[in-house]
Amino acid sequence: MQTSADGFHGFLLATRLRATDDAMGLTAHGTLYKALGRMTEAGLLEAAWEDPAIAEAAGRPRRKLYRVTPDGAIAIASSRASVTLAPFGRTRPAARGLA
Amino acid sequence: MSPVAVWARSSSERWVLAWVDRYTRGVPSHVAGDRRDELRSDLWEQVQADGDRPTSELATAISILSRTVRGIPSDLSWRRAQLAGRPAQPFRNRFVNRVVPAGVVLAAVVGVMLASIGVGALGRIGVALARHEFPPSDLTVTSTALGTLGLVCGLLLMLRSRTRWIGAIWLAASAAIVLSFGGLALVTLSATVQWFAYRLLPYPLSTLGQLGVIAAIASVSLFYLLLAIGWIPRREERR
Repeated sequence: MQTSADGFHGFLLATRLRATDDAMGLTAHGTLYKALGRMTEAGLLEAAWEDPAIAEAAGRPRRKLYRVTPDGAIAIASSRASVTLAPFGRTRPAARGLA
Repeated sequence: MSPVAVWARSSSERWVLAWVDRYTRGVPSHVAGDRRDELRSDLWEQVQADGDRPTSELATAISILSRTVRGIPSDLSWRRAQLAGRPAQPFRNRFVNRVVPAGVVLAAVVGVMLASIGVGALGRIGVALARHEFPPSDLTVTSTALGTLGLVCGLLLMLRSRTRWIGAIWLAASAAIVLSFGGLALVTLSATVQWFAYRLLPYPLSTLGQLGVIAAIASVSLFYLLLAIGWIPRREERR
């Protein structure tokens, strides 16, 4: 997901989650932004509004861009490891698709 | 692309933003503004993304509404967390959060009852005029009609939280007019109301009885004025 230095925005994450989870629909607004907010508060993500000039030039509302922090990267790695070790694959990664 | 589908899609966006305004009410303004801007961006991105795919506007509208409805529990939980993180509410906020809902219901019920009195008085005045019996004065007729209209306007203004305090002021003034003129017309023209008035008020024609009626009318107006003061929106709520 985080392929550029700019990070990712909420809707992009929702589309990726839909693709990776084979979900029928996009993640609900409330669920998505509450989770992003909590992960930001926990220090796993850092958020910043993009430069309004960029948004204006693109003719769209400005995006809130998220980037995975070093702590977030560790959490993702740890989550992946727990998924690999978990029997029957019952544990779902919380931050899958973020990095 | 049908106009109905386009309307549905644009309406769904408006509904989402209206919902955001609703659940961010009382949340610190910068947090609420962040959430609103983020949702506005999300909606724009979704509309653009769906526009690039063979998806109808109607499907986009349904998807947007579905995302909103499914997220309501999280929105409410987020709201609770935001409000819990705030310092203790000052008295005015406690009044707004706890007393306002009960006050709105009570004010609406009393307002509807008063409007019924006004409509009843106007109906009885109409009957009296048609029968040429004890025609009330022009002042009574005009005041009762204007007072009843004022009550209806006040009730309509109360429907929106931002204009609720103005509605309460309308109701305070209109209640006094309807009770004074419409009430008097009813007591004069309706035998039934007359019977009830003399049953309920032991000395309706005495000074004490008249003072009691004036005190009752003043109490109703005072009730609405106090609600109006409590409902005046704060500066940050007026934006």
